[in-house]
Amino acid sequence: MMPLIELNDVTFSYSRVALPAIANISFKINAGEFVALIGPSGAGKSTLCYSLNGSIPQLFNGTMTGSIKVAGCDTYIDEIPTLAEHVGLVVQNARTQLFNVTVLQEVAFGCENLGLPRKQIQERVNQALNFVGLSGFEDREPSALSGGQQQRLAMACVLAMDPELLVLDEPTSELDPIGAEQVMNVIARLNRELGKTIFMVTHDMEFVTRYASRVLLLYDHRLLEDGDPQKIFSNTSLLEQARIRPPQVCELAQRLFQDGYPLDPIPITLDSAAKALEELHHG
Amino acid sequence: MVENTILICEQLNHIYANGVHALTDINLSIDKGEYVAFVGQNGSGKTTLVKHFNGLLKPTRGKVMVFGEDTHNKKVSSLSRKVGYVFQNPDDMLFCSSVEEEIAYGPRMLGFEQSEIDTKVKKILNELDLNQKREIHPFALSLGDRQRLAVACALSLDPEVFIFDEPTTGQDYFGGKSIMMLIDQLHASGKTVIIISHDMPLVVEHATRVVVLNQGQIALDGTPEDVFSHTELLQQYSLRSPQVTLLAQKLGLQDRTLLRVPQMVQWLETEYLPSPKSTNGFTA
Repeated sequence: MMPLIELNDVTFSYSRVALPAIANISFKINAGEFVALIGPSGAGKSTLCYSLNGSIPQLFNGTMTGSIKVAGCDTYIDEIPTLAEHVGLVVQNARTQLFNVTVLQEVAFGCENLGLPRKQIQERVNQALNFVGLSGFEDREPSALSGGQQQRLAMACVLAMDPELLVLDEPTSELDPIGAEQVMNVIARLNRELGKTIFMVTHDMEFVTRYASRVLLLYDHRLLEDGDPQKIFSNTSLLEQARIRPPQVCELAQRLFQDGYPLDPIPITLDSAAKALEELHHG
Repeated sequence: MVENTILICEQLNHIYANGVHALTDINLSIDKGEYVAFVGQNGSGKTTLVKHFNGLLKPTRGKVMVFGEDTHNKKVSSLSRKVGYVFQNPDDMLFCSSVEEEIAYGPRMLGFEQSEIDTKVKKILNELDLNQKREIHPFALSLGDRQRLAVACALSLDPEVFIFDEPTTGQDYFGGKSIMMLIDQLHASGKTVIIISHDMPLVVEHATRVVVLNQGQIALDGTPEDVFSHTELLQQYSLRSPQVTLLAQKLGLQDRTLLRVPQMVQWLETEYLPSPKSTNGFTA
């Protein structure tokens, strides 16, 4: 099977900046994966997001080498409107990408630009709003919604265009716990129920351990590690090097393991930790 | 100890001009040297409440006393000498054309002597590791540096009380940690610290008192242990308890609330788990 995303030795430098923002990045992602991109601020995570829909190198000034293929498109050559049919990007601070007067117009905007027939636009808008839990909000003003609702609205806008890949840059960072949970639920269902491939940047490691099937760790503009959450979050020295703080249960399990408790594999989620510790308790 | 109480809210109500009743009957007192965290979901009134502490907002009904004086007739400029406020988004409070200008602005507006201002600015630039960047335009700094600059501006007036509205939002682990170290240092030097945060592990690692707001009212107020023992209530207020707390509850611990990893390791190793030698089959 052809991978949905394939990066081959990609390096990008913004113009007038000496050092590359991302350097020598190579990876392949298959359709249906749930990928979390993690790493400290300034590592190049957002640059990588913009590279997946062609915004880089086509809209940002800079120099790119290597190759990026997404859903059979070449991000250097194929035009951004073509790429937009395959890649939906929700930027950091999603409210900055909302500009219409009503929720309905906001969600319809992308489909209108794809030149879809009216009836199909209506169907897609209804489905997308329903999926993110915003049915009934059609006439509301996007700027008057809560942060979590705005984030879900921005997801509905890209969802209505029915791309295979959703790229989400810190979808929960500005939200309160309930808003963040609701957004993560929608993202998980996009992956599970609709089979969308998810490429999500986040600093919330608890969400990574709970939802992602694969983790890319970006550090100092390079890909430092690529593996499943189990592999990444069992590797204490790697996390320390990359200045990533694991969730409390990972820290706890690691301490117990060092003290001689046979935890193998190291539990990385609340539920798996409870199960493993109960088993040890009962002997 | 009345002389130690620096902040009192009595039946504080705040109704915004658009009619939103943001705070209802808040009664609260904070003593000198406390480290208080205000938590609650977005819209619960946290920011509205703390903006009363430096006079940015005035009560619609009820009273707020800061250092024994009713804020009703006080200007923000006089309260800001005693209560420093660091906004959630540093860009909301930065507007000068260089880092050193930004730090000097507050003391200059309050009429300090130039020589005094120079000494202060120099000291703060060093303390916050911003010396090399003193001539840079604030908006050319990284988010982490802008956040530190916002703290620097609050420091320049040497207030008794510091309020931080979500000091670590948008920061990675390292950036968040360095800001919290700075806040801890202020507290250790005797300052009263008030933070607003959604990050519960952070709250329990730093604050000594947690106040939960829900729909404009105080829902819980106590030590972190007190507050996080109310798991179901917290869920209703849509707060996520620390993982350690939830794990201990799942394992059946009822008589105590554990919040931090070292406590949890100790409980597991001394009370819950059999010794590792007997479980892995090896003998020492």
